[in-house]
Amino acid sequence: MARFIAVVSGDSMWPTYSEGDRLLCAELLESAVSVGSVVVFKHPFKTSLHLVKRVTSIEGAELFVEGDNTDPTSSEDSHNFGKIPTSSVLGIVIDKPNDV
Amino acid sequence: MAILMTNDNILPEIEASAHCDGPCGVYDPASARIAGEAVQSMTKKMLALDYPKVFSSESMAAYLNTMSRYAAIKDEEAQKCKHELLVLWTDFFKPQHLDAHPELHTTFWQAAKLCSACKVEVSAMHAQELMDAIEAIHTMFWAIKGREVPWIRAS
Repeated sequence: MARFIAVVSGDSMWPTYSEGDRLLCAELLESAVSVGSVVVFKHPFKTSLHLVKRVTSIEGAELFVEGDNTDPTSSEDSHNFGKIPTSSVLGIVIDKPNDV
Repeated sequence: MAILMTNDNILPEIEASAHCDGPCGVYDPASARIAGEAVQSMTKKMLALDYPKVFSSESMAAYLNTMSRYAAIKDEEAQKCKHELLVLWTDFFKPQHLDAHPELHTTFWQAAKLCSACKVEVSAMHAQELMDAIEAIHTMFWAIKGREVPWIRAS
């Protein structure tokens, strides 16, 4: 099953993930999204930009995603751009290995 | 962004943005420093301004006009300085910065209070303390940005 590495840029997922962390991700076919999953997805308004956020609720085929940083100014997420379609998800974070 | 396939044996790699919605890259404590310098400059001018040598309607009007303009600019720039500091404090600095800079909140709180003090007083001491606090914020800010930017004053 297709896997890829997502390199974190920014602090919105702090303290879980920090700038430069390398996250092992799996495409949706391998892992189902659930509340609590961290997903990499296409920004709904800037499709060339990939974001990494945590799924905090699911409504049908739409996900509400948020950053882990408690500072409300730290994250551009569903509070700004609304829920995202599941189809925009590129993959789910499954590990943060040190050697990838 | 295209997924980068650098080698058949290496997993493809992409960048995943975890940034804020605001313009992270355009904050700069220089705005507060310039306003703070204006406060200090006006404070010095007010303290240095002598009474007219000859009292007349014209000389008193000129004196009061000059003094009131200094006071108005000092008040306006102190308020501007406080605004710039509060934007840095609440928008740029994040919880993760407290580990490396545990004095951050105290420094900003004191700097904001010094802005208020400089508005209601004509105090060279508090104006200097305000500049010292802005310099401390400048140092924290650029340390977080990972750049060496010297503290330079316009005046």
